[in-house]
Amino acid sequence: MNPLTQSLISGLMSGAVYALLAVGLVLAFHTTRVVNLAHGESFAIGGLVAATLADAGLPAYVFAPVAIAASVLFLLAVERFLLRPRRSWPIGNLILVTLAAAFLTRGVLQLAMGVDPLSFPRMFTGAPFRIAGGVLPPQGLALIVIGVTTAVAVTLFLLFTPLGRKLRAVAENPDAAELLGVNVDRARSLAFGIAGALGGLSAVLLVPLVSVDYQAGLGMTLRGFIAAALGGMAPATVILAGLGLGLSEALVTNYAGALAQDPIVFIALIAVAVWQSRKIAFGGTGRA
Amino acid sequence: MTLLETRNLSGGYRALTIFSDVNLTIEPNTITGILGPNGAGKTTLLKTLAGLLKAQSGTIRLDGNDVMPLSAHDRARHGIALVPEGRQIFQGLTVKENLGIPRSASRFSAVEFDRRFEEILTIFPRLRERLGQLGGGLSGGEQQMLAIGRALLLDPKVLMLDEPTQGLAPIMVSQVLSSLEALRGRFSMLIVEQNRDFLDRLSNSKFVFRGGKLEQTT
Amino acid sequence: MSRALSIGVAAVTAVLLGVAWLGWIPGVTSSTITATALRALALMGLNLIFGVVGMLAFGQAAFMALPAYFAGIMDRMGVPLLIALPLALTMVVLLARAVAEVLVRLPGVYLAVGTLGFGMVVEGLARAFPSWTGGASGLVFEHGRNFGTNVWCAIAVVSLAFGVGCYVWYVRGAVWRRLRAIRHDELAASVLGIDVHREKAKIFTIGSAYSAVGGLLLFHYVGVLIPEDAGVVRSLEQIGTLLLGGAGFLVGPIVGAFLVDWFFVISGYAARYELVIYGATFLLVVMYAPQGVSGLLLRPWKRLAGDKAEKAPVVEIRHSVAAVSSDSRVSGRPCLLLHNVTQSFGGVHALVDISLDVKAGEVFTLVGPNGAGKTTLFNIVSGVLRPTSGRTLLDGVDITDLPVHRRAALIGRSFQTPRLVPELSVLANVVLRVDQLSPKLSEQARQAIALEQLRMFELENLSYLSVAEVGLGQRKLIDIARAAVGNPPIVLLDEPAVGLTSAELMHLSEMIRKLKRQGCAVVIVEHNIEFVSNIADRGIVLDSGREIARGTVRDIMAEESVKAAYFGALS
Repeated sequence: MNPLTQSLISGLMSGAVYALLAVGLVLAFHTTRVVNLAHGESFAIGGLVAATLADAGLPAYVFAPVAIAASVLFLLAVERFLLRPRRSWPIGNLILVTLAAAFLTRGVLQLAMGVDPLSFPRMFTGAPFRIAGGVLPPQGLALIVIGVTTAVAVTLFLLFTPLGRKLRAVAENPDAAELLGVNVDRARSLAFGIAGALGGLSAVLLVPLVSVDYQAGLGMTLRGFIAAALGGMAPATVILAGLGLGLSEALVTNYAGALAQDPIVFIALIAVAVWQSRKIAFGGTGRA
Repeated sequence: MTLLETRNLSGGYRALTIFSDVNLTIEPNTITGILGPNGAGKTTLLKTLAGLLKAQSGTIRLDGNDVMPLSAHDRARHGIALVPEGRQIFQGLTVKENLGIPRSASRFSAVEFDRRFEEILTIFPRLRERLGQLGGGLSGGEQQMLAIGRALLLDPKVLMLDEPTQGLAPIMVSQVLSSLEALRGRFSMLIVEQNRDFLDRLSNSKFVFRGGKLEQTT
Repeated sequence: MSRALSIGVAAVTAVLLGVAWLGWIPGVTSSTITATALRALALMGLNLIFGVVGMLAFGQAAFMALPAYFAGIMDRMGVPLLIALPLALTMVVLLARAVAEVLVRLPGVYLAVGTLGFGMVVEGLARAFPSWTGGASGLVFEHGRNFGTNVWCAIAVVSLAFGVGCYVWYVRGAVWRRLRAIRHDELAASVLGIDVHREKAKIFTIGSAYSAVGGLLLFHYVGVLIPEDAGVVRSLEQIGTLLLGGAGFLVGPIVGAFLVDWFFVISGYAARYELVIYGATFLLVVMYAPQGVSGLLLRPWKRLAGDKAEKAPVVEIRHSVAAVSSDSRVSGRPCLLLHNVTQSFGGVHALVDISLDVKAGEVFTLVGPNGAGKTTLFNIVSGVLRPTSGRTLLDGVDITDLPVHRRAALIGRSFQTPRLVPELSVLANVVLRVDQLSPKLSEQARQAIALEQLRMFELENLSYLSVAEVGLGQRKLIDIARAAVGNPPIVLLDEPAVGLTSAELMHLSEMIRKLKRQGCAVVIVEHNIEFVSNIADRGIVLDSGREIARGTVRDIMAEESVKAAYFGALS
């Protein structure tokens, strides 16, 4: 077995997940200006619901859609009940609200699902593919293909459909969109709904290869955010950034060991943030 | 029958009242002008009529129906269109995409919408030349044409324009003027301006905003 | 916070502590008091960083655990406790300073995610090196057992009292005003002359030092430290606890720590529900009581006490805060010079090759439609933007590369919408500017200077009102009076006349004439042509970032191109 190929394969797998999470995070961020720190909870919810239903003996074509629906409902609720009534609040306070929501969700998941990591059987089975000394299970291939395709599809949807056009209009100037008859609240719901679907989908695809527990959410938010920040918060580049993040994590693990992964990813985030903020004025905090 | 009517309308931001007791009547297919210095409350009034701001008291009726409970996007669907101050076009969307935003809210049918879309490009030929360009790359005058064209595609009963000549070169001002003159009689307009000449050319009746009150003028 | 209030709070806390120590509160023993006091001490750090300044620091638990890890590891290596403890603290404070240096420069959400990530890294490292940190089973501290419960209780309470004392001594007067200004509006703060990055880095370091001392003592008392104690969940619990107690209040950390600890004691260590209870409390407080319990309790108290700024005894002013010597004040002397300034944002030209000379004692106006580049020009002069090319000179000195806060003493600037700190009084808002210009003067002298400034501009009757009670027009006048404190060589006024009543307009004209008489160069951006023609001497007209006319106001108003561009004359 070739460890380098193997780490590239696993990097692509986690990269696909980061791309899905980052695209959802960016969608929600643009339409509401809030970095939703409860975003990763949609992953945890999707994964845990799928695992529980699978454990109860339900087939994949039942538990996968139900799990994704649960993730969608969760983020819809965050937007509808937590963010929408507080539209006029400062962004910092709204970020705190999403953080509190993430925290509460984690507590609820711990009570409802227990503390043990859960998983469920793979939906895509069969003999693993062997590529250049690396092993890729069918589920992993499905993760990469479906994940990247979906992320690209969402980007194309944003760019080329009337609904996507409306979402971009709301993201850029909600008041002007409202004046042209666009229901901004509904557009925001749509954005959060899509974000939830992407979170749930990434859980359904990834969890069978690893596992998920009640505290997976914040870590996923963090990685999704890093990918989003690396990609400059634009949906198309964010996909590449997500894949890049996954690959570099895998390479770091391969060459420097798993322990170095967190610190190096963290340092990468800071470096990117510093690089991006270099444009900001040298005394103040931006344009007046 | 009166198209748009306000009774004792007051508005502002939270506790701050910017204008009060505005009684404004707009008849169908007329052009009404409001003059007034900066900060007099003209923009606040238009935003309140459009539904972007909640009125503090009073009523707004369109065709005799109360529109107060309607949100801004619903008012736009019912024919109250506002071309906001500073144009507010979507800079990251192309001209064509900008014009497509009102499609689903428009009172026009889908077929009619496409016909009107063509008409807008005839009224503003500069927009046709730049259909594929991003809104942010347009000049001030072109942005104003785009903002007006976009609002026209809603099929408004009343088109409100907030300082349409602000920041425009004189040649552009006369172009905007002639295109608005060409539209006279199709629907009502409510124009807020600091430019008296501009209003003198267009409006049937004129008001002045002073200290948050509306006064008729000649 | 007023002195009387602090004393009152201290007295109540002392009584509560006594009652608790006697065991009269169900479930509370001296060991609860010890743990609560140490937790509160650590929380005071988070309160400074997050509660007072508003930085979203989501990794403070790491700064509690790190010194304990350092001390514990040194202890195993045989370093004596008396050396290990201070050394561990020093290391953590230095680390916090280094982290702050990078993080405070980033926009809010990067700080949030960066600190969150920092916590994850520390927790990850603690897990990764079990031979040093004890791994998941934890690092054990033996030395704490040498002291009895009462000794520990005394250590904890004395440390907390010392922490509160330091806080009360440090966070008052100029420091308090500065921190509120930064929290409210960083740009306005830097234009007033506050070095926002340095102040934030300082507060992050001081706050982390509080966390470190609290954590170091707490883990030595508890006796064991596990990786989770450094992690994200603990950090978030801290935020929740602080918000419950009341972020930004002196007593917030104490109230929060006490309520949380007490709740878990009487509810019989509802460990299974711990996370969900924290989460629910956190969410409810954030959404419905952002001021926390302290806010709810102090509101009636404040109303009783009359929440007004304290009147300072008026002292005679012997100090001058003039920023430059008076010989440069000869009217007509060149003051502000711009040489071929160009500014572009990603290829879009906001200003093209603009040169200016503004003389002392002159009112100079920038005219032009929206988007012409007037505000960009102001941002370049005040240092918020660095021009793409060209130089800025003030009184003959090149200031192009000087950051905002370093040139702020020489440049007063008012904003289109006044950017006063709403929770401070009018006077305190003006003192905020004096603080930056004359940091060495006594508080009394600074207040007197601010009062004199308000008096000079006939605004002294507003001095002791809170900004919220003052009308928009008057706020603009106050903003301008503040910009003119210390008689700077140049004052920039951004649309000063917008939104003013006619009486306020006259007041404004009088203020500008006064500045002119004092030899100030006044630069005005204004749309109100009538107002500008009456007050300004010279000006230039901008259109799409280019100069289209310049000269005396009479000349430029007469010019055809200006008439056309500005008055919309329809040829």
